Amino acid sequence: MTDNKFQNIIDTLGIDTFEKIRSAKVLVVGAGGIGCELLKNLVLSGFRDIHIIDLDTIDLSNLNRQFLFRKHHIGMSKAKIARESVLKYCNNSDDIKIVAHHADIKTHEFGPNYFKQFNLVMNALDNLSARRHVNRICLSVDIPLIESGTAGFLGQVSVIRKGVTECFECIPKVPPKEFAVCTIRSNPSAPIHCIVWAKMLFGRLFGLADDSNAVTDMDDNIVEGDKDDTDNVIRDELLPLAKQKSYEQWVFHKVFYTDIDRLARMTELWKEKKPPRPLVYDELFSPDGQQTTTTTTTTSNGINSSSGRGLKDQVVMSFQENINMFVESIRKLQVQNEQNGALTWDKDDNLALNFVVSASNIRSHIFNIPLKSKFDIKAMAGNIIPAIATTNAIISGLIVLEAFKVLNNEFDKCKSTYLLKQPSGKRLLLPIDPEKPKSDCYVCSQNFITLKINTKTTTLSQLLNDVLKKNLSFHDPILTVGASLLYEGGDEDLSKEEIEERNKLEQKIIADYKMPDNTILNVEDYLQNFKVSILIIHCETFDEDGKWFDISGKQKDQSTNNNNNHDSNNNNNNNTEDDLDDLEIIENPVDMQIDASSDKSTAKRKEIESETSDSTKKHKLNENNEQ
Amino acid sequence: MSSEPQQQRQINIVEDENNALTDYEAALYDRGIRVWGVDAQNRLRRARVLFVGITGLSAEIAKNVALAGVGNITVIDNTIVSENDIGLFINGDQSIGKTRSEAAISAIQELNPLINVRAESIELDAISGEFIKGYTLVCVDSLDSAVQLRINNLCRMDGVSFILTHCFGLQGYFFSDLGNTFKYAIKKKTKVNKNNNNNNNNNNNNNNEEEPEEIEELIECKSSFSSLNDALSVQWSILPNRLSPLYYVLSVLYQYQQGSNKLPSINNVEAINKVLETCYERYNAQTDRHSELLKQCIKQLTGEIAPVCAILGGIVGQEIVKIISKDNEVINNYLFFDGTKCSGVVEQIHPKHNN
Ligand SMILES: [Zn+2]
Repeated sequence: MTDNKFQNIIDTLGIDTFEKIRSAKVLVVGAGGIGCELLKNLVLSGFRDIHIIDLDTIDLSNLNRQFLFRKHHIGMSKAKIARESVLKYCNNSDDIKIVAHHADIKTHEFGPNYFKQFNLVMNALDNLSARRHVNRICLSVDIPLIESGTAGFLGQVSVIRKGVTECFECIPKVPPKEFAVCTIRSNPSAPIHCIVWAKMLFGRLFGLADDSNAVTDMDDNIVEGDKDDTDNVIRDELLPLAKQKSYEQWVFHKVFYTDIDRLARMTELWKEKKPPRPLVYDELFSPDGQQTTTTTTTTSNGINSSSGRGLKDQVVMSFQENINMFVESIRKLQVQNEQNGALTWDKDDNLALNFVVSASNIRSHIFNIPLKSKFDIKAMAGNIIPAIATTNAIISGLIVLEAFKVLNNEFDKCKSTYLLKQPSGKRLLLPIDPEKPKSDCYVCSQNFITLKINTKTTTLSQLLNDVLKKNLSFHDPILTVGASLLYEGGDEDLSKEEIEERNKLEQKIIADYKMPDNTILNVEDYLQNFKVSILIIHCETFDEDGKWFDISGKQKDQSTNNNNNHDSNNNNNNNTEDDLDDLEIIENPVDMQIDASSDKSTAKRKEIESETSDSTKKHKLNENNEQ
Repeated sequence: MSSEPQQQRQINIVEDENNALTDYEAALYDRGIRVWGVDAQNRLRRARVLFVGITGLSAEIAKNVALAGVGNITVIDNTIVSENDIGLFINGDQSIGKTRSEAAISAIQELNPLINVRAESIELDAISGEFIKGYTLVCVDSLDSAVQLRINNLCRMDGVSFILTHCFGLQGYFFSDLGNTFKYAIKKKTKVNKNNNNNNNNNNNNNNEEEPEEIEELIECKSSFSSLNDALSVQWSILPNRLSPLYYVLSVLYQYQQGSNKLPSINNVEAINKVLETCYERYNAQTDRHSELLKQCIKQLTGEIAPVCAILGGIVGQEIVKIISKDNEVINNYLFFDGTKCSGVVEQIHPKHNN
């Protein structure tokens, strides 16, 4: 019927647009769920000069949606296989060029100069820090960016153009819920607290040495009193004995007896609830290693959520089964640790998962918290927001429709489109006009960040790692105050002595290192081509438990800050960037803070908000999501 | 017509207990199971879905349901693949000369080796009730309203779910007929505070961080659908306000074929426009805002483009998963996608019932 395989595109969009598609050079960042679908749509729409980048390799649980991958591709580069597979849809005569990079976008190879060659960048990313990174580079070299994200049935696409639309960072994203250190270490009250603890314990036992990991000190056997007050100190004399017996007995005794005994003695914690009860290894196992049958309190107050039907992993294991699994996984992990060196926790590593499942359930048992199934713990520990093929397909199609408009320079026609789970009103796909750039955005406008922090206790290292890198997504920050250079990262040209010098510097308290109250600190990142001024305000008390600093975009109008604490990012220590495996794991979906458990009401909220055009709408969403 | 939730304790769904998911399936479908649950995954595995007409759109839908784990997929399309065909199931030069269904089955099978994929070479007018009977759902992408109607009627008779879908350039839609009574159950989570019924327990209270217990309740719902003929013959005067103009286009294309027994094509623009005129007269509608879209759709009767296929294919694929798993609100009975606005609007279009 036609003599051109792209005749439909020409008929629909016109020959001018088609010519632009043929000559466009585009970058796709991410080759996971959205990336696979997007690459296919681009190729079938006539794009023929495409770069694709992904650091990740293919996993079995990707195959339900990342349709360019097969079982025999497991373990291989997503970017490379995606390229190879998508080329199958092309004829030999098609003049198509796809360049695949199995690489981290956040490296110097892919800096601003690399980005400059493209007409358009499309993000198909899962993690906040990479999305911020790409946002900043695209703004700095003025290349249009199409942002996207999915979570379960929900998804969103939006176009980011410097000076025209809101950027990815105009609305601060609420970071994932963090827990106060004392809740994790001393006073857990929900399964998630024990799961976070178990992951930290994994890091402590098998990971790299990390001073910030305060989960337990393996050789400390003080159960009451202070080590400086030698007269009144009570020690657990059994711990050194357990250490002599075996590694697993030592660990077991330390974390489920010594540490618990110490907590149980803090009576003020247990005025209103049952104190934790230390577990004695030998009472759970007879001396010959056989397990005893004494434990009657299996699944303690455990709510057995298994319906009798369902997956094996959805059944909550008994307390004794957890004990056995714990001991067994420690033994095996220790061997792995000795053979391969430090381990990193991975939810897809069954042994590492078993450790966290059993350790967290035993701790839950001790603190009278319901036990959880392996299936549920995997999701909680791995921050899994499940991703499905259909949502990715829809979102990737919407990205391409926006791409057509971007290539035509029709930014006035661009939409931010939301995909809902159920129609809201009558709408399943909800297009709204993009917001204007926020004047107080510290990324796309020239503005200050205000950082409230205790300048007398915070070290430079904490400022660098927790505030600038983790929270503000700097990759390699350079710090200056006035004309003096305070800190520069990178170790390419440094001697050993210089590195040591710098490590010492990092331990300095910031008030003692030219950053007292009311300092304007300039932070620059060459890789991101991004510079920002931070006003440091000394502050000793914070309204939220576990919070130790506060960041807000604007400093002029203090009163608004007080009313809108969603404007502030709170982030204390661990596991923000914890699991980036699934393309569709969205720690903080763009603009839309997805609440996967109650999409109906979320949809409603969006419906209402789409009709109020004031800038408060996304703030409402954020607030609602913090629960 | 609309969904009426009814409180009910338990809903009985016949389950094939001895045919549980394997560990490999559980791992492969892990994310899906986390979204729709094991029971739904099992129902998907047992489902049999038939695709009539392999287009770029239905290829997308088939891809999505294959990935979701629909256990049995059958395709019918005897058209020969040509050099200018493009789409998901066209495997470069290798597919040229095969029938579309042959090309499709190898591609679908490759997407998911765990499922059964078959091609049927039956001619569309030979499809009988006997043939349709075994399927859970039939998804049709065809412009031929005689085929649409016949398959819809056969599906109605045998209680098989029916979906009709098509796209024209930037426009697309789907229609569903799940019979007079489509039953499904939605899970409602209610939070129960444990402290309320805390009679002899001395623990687990007074902690404000404690998670309330969640209880899942199944609520049985019913939804009633209209046949394709009924849905396309609704008087224009009773149609919803601000209805997508695409519905009028579909109605005109349908009525044109009823009158002429000819497939719509670019050669019949005049005649089709006449039908539109007649409709205006008959229904006493004064607007002419449909003629532009009608003209455009006639030009693009088979004018699929990849992003629209992906979007509509994703929506229909998700709808099929919901229909089979019977545990979610389903769309009743039209969805219109407009790529010029990126809008996806759901409409209920039913004739006025006498009762
Ligand atoms: Zn901004």
